[in-house]
Amino acid sequence: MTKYPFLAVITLLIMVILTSGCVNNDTSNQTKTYSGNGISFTYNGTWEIANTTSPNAVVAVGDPKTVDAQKNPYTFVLIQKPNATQNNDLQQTYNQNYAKLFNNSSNQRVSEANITINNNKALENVYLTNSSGMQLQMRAVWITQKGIIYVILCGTTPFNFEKEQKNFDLVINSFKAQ
Amino acid sequence: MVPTLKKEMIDIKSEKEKVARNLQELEFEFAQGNISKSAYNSQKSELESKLETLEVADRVKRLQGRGEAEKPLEYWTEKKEEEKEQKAKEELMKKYITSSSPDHPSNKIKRISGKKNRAALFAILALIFITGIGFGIFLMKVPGESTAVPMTINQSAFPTLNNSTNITNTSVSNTNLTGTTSSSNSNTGSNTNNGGNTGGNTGGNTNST
Repeated sequence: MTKYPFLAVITLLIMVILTSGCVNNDTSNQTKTYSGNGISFTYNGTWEIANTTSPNAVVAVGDPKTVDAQKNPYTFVLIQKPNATQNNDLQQTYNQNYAKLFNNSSNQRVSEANITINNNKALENVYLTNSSGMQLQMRAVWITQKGIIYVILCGTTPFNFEKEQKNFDLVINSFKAQ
Repeated sequence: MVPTLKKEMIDIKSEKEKVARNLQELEFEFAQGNISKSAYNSQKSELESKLETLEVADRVKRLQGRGEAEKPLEYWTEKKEEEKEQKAKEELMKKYITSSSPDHPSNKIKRISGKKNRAALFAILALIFITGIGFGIFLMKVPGESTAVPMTINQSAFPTLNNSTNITNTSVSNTNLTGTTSSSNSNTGSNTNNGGNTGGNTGGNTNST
């Protein structure tokens, strides 16, 4: 080894570069926290806050790597507040919403479930929808917090739907009304 | 000093004579067939070597100064041996040890190849460094870069409502309502007419009545 000091230096350098690359590349475990508009939640560290034109939207976050030519990310989480209904009943609001939504043939129901998030009752609806010629799979979680109904709409392509569940769960499980 | 030298020179001479006599005897014995050829050869070379040494010593004593000539025969024998060894060593040195002078061609080649190797190593090092930095930039997330991507989300969890259509519907319904109202009015008129009729009828009836 003393005969080839340059070789030793090069080997060491390669090892350092590779090790640092492995350490720094693992950004999937890094998270960010959004706090504002009366809510807070944690989301994937590589995602960014997005502008939204959606009705009654509170905030939206998206994966910048999935942005199309129109700057619309196909992997996102959008938080909305539905219009108040009589008694502000979660189930009733939910039922009324999907009765109308599935009247449109471009939306196809996949599954529905009653779930519990942090000891709060919530309703989940998974469906397929067409948006600008692209099919997206949506997971909408309806939850009441501090007397307000929130819809956490998580969307991506059907191909990436299972893979993105951990990012969606990160938002859903950390969601809190302030 | 001079008597010592003379004595030694006499010693050398007598020794030379003795060795020469021994050599003659050896040749005689070999001629008679009393000793083998190999024994004869080895003894002859030994005696010749001894004789040669004695002659050298004698010559040195005659030519060089007295001080050196005063030295014993062993000294000259040893000196000769040393000279031989020195010569052998020099020959070996010439044979196996290359010159260390910087101008030696082999050293020049070595220096050039060493420089080339070092340059190549530096080039490799630089290449690895640049590649590493490139990979780092490619793989690592630069915060400023990702925030620069503006994104717009226009999806919704709610059924899309076309406001303009609604407005048209409203106006249509208003028109309808207006129409209804007007028709109702006309109906009313007709009703009135009817009523008139009724009234007429009534009147008729009345009239008839």
